[in-house]
Order: sequence, then structure tokens, then C-alpha cells
Amino acid sequence: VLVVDDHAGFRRMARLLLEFGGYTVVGEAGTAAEAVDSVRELEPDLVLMDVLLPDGNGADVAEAIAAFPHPPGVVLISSYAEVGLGHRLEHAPVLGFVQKDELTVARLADLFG
Amino acid sequence: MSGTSGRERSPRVDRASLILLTGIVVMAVVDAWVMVTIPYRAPQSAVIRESLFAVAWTAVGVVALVLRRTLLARRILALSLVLTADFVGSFGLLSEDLLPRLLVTLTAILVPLQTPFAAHLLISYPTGRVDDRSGRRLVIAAYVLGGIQSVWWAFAHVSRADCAGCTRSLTLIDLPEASDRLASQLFSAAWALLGVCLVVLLVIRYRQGGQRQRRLLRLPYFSILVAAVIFVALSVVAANRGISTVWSLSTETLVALQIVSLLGVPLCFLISLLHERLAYRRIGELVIELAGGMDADLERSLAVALGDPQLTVVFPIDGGFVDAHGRSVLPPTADGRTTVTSVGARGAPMALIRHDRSLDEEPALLTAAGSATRLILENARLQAEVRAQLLEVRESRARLVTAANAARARLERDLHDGAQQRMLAIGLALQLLRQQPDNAALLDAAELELTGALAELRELAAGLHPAVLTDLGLVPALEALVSRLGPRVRIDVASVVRRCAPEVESVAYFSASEAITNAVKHAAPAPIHVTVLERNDAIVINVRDDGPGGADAGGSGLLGIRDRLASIDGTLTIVSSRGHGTDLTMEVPCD
Repeated sequence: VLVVDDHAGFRRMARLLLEFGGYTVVGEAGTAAEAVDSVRELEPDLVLMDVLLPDGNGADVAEAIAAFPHPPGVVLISSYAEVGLGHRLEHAPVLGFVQKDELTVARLADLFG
Repeated sequence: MSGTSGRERSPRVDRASLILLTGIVVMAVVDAWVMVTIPYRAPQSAVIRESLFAVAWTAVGVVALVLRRTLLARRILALSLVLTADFVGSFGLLSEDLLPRLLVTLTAILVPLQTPFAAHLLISYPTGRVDDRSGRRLVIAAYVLGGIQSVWWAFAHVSRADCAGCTRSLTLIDLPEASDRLASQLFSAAWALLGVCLVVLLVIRYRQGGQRQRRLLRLPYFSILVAAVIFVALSVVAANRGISTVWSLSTETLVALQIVSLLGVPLCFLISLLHERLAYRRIGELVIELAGGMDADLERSLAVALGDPQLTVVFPIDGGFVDAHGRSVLPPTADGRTTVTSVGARGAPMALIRHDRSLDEEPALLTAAGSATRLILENARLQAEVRAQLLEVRESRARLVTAANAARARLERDLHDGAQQRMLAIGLALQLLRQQPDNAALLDAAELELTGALAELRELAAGLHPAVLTDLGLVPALEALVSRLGPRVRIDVASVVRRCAPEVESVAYFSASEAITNAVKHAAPAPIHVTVLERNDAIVINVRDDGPGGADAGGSGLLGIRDRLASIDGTLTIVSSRGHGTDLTMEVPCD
């Protein structure tokens, strides 16, 4: 799994959470650009990605990496509710959306399948 | 109004005109008495014509006097006096008494002077003054010629030729017929030459005049032209009939025509004078029109009111001049046709009016127009000022709202990016701790996030409104701020500074805080010096640095400070030339 979020403290906790749930976290990224690079380099199976990144939108990144030869499954997260983030999320090529304060291993497992 | 205004205070009737008027009255009484007591040969039509002519000119002279056209009145009354004094003597009085003989002598002397007096009036019209050299020469020539002829006539009056029994001039001497005829021909030729010169002069003057001047000249000149044409026509008719004098032409129509044309001249002068006077009524209309609304065209209205279509108005602004439409123009200069009159204070005119020279003779008219203009100018300037202030307030208000919105957005972002993310991380940590209660690393991480979140919240709260500002006041709050920024910023409080209203302290604090933050950002690494003092019911905060200077007073930062200060009637003074640091002085009222 690749974890993409601009807040280092949150990334660390998310990594611990994922590892506790039995996933292997192969990398972390703080920006949209880093996320695209890391996906190309590390070829993760899954990406846990914040919607609001300092240099772009998670939905756009999801679209970009969906064009890769082996596109990973993407779950978007945000501290805002889904409705507040606009229509773009509805059409984004992602597995699902989770509000950050509702983020649990069980919920991720559901979406990641 | 400057310039010619002194003339208004001159007495209503000047002494010269008074003497002339008295002379006219005395002569009129003498004329009347002579005509009643002494028989004469002249036909009734001639008597009516000559009397009407003298009376008409006298009346025009009196009107000019009443209208305070003193100089012109003098010219007209002088002509009237000559006309009154000389006409009865030419009626062919049948008496050898002393008084009629004196009157005939006077007539012989004065008749040749009618022409120079009339020429003088015509050349000096409409001002009553002869300003140009050729005009003066012509007037002098006419007087010289008239003088010579009057001396000649004193000894060789024409009336003796065809009236053996008529009253004779006291000075009449018998001269040979031939010399008399020669002299007559010489005088006729000289007068003809002078007449041509006069016509040329008047034509030139008319062509050179401005539109207003031309309008003043038009009617009198036209009437003279008509009278001259009729006179010539009658002379030709008389010559064709083989009759040498006009008196013999008693055909009623011809005489009536002559009377009308001769009376037409003073009548036209009278109409012109009265027409000019009507301008005062137009000034009243001007005031009403200008008071009606600001969209009235000041220049147009003045031009109409003063009867000068070529009139222009310019306003001195910032060392230059603008016209009524706000366009930049060159300063107006007087030329042969125009004069420039300033409205307003002598040293600092409010407006300059360039107008036709003929208006120089109407100082009262110009003063009235100037006063009307001054009112409207003052009004226009005040309105412009108020509009500018209103615009400034509107812009400032809009900027304050924008700044407040931006601050709220920044606050939301700070909360979202900082404390909120830390809280979310703590949430995840707690979730994990539920499964692994003994994981010390997790606990450490959670505590670290919590500490960070607390620090960020505290900083945010201080940015919103520092508690020390509310509790202890402006100076301790600024001292706390400065101490947080490190040794680069120093603060001096000159005296005990009292507490002010909360909104004043708050605005002062945040303005100073932004000024200090700006200096920290832009003047690095130069030291920053803050001073606070109380002066005349106001708190003065000065923030000075020795940085690069050249701060942009119109930039959003300084504009924001200015707007905020303005909201509590405070001011911002910026001194920031490139290379000499920046010096901001904020002053807020505190009472």
C-alpha cells in the first residue's frame, strides 16, 4: 500500500494502522507529484490518498495513475465529508471514499476487498 | 473679480456730463425763446427735423448716462450740445437784434464742428474711448478740419448768400464770390477724404472685432450707412432738379424719409445701449440655470449670458489649467480682441475667463457673472471633493470586507492543516491503542501530536485576539509580541500609555503587528525599532527599520493597515525612500 497525505503525523499513524491490519506499506508521499512518482516506481497494489494535497487534487492523481499499465486500487480520504468536495469524486476511478475520522481497518478491508 | 471693478464706484453722473447737460438745457431755452419771439424763414418740416434730431441725441445721451456709460455719454452729450446750439441760427432768422445775431454767429462757428463731434462719437463707440492710433489721428484730423472750417464760416457764413434780409453773423465780412466757392470746394474735398478714411477705419474695426463687439457695432453702423445712402440719394435728386439746397425740397415723403433716417441713427444707438443692458437679466437667468443642476454647461451658459459666443473658461489646477470638461489646456492669453479676467482671490484665481474686449466696459456685468460662476465653482469643487471621499470610503469598506473574508479563510485553512490533522492522527493512534494497549511508541506519537495541536491552537487564538491585549492593554501586548520575535525587534515605550477603547486597542495592535511582521519579512536582517507614546489624546506607534526601504504605499499590506486605522479615525504616515529604510507612524485617537 502507498500512503499519500501532506501531514507527516497522520501518515505515520495511517501506516501503523494499515500494518496492524496486515497490509504492507511500501511507501509514503506528501504531494500529488510525489504520489504519481511513487506509484510508477513502487507499483503498489493499493493507494490510500488524501483528496486535498498541497499541489493538487487526489481525484486528479487517481485519474493519472489509472492510466498506468498496472493501475493500483485507490481509496480517497479527507477530513471533509464527501459531499463538500464536489462532483469530481463521483466519477473518479477509485474504489471508494472514507472520511478521515471514520477511518478503520475494517472499513479499508471492505473497500480494498 | 479683479481689474476694472473700481470703476463701478464712480458717481452716477460725472461733472463733465452735468456741464454738458446744463449747456443743452440753457441752449434749448434760448432756442425756444428765439423761435417764439423772432420770425424765421425755415419751413415747418426743417424745424421739426432739427428739433427732433437734437432732442433724440440728448435723450440717448441721458440714457447712456443713466446706464453709467459715462465716457460714451460725454461723447453723445457733446454732440447734442452742438446740435442744440446751432440749429436755430440756421433757420434764417429775420431780425437784427443782438441775441439772434449772436445765435447766428454761434451757429456759423458750431455747424462745422458737428462733423468732428459725430466722428469722435462714432470712432469711440462703444467704449467712449479712442484706443487705437489711427482712430486718434482721424479724430484729431476731423477736429482740425472742423476748426478751420468754423473759423472760415465765422467770416463767410453760407446763409447770407440766398437771404438778404436774414440775421447776419456778427463776424461776417464780405468776401469775393470766387474765394467763397473755392473754399467750399476745398472743404468738401477734405471732408470727403476724411469720410473715406472713416469708412475704412470702421470697416477694419468691424472685421477685427470679436463676435460680441461686432454685434454691438452692427446696428449703429448700419443706421449710419442707411442715413448716408438716403442723404446722398436726396442730394442727387436735388441736384437733378437743379435745386441747390435741401430746404427747397419740400416734397413731404422725401422729408419724412430724411427725418426717419436721421432719427434712426440715435434710435439705433439707443437700442444698442439697451440691448447691452439686457445682459444683466441674462445673468439672473444664468444663476437660475446653474443652480438648476451640475450638468449645466458653465462655459456655454456664461457665453450666452454675457453675449459673447467665443468666451472660454479655464480653471487653474495643480499648476496647470483645465477647461470646463476637465481637459488640460494652455493658460489663456489676451489678444487684440480678447481680455482675460480672473475670478476669485487675486493671488489664487478660481477661474480665468477669456472674453471679448467689449466686456471690459461692463465691469459690473463681469462681476455679476463672476459671482454667479464663483458660487457654482465652489459648489462643483465641494461636490467633487465629497464624491472623492465617498469613493475612498466605499473602496476602503470593500477592502476591509475582503480582508476579513481572507482572514477567515486563512483561519479555516490553518485549523484544517494544523490542529485538525493532529487530532485525526491522535484518533487513529487511540484506535490502534485499543488493540495494543502496551505500545509505548504509539503513546509517544499520540502525545507528540497532542502537544503540537495545543501549541498551534494557542498560537491561533493569540492571532485572533491576544488575551494580554484585553487584560493588560496595548503596550504589554506589543511587548509580548516583540519578545516572541527575538532580539531583532526592540520596543521603547516613552511614557505611561493609557488604556483606550477595546476596538481602538485592537486595531492599533493588529496594525502595529502587521507593520512589525512586514518589517521582519522585508527588512531582514536590519534591526526593527518600535516606539509607543501618547500625544494629544492619541496613541502614536512608530515602526522603523533600516532595511532597503521603497515600501509601496498602495500595496495591499499598507493599504490594509490604512483602511483598518481609518475605521477608527486613525492615520498612517509612511516614509520609505529606497535605500533609507522604512518608517511607519500609526496614530489612533484615544479619549
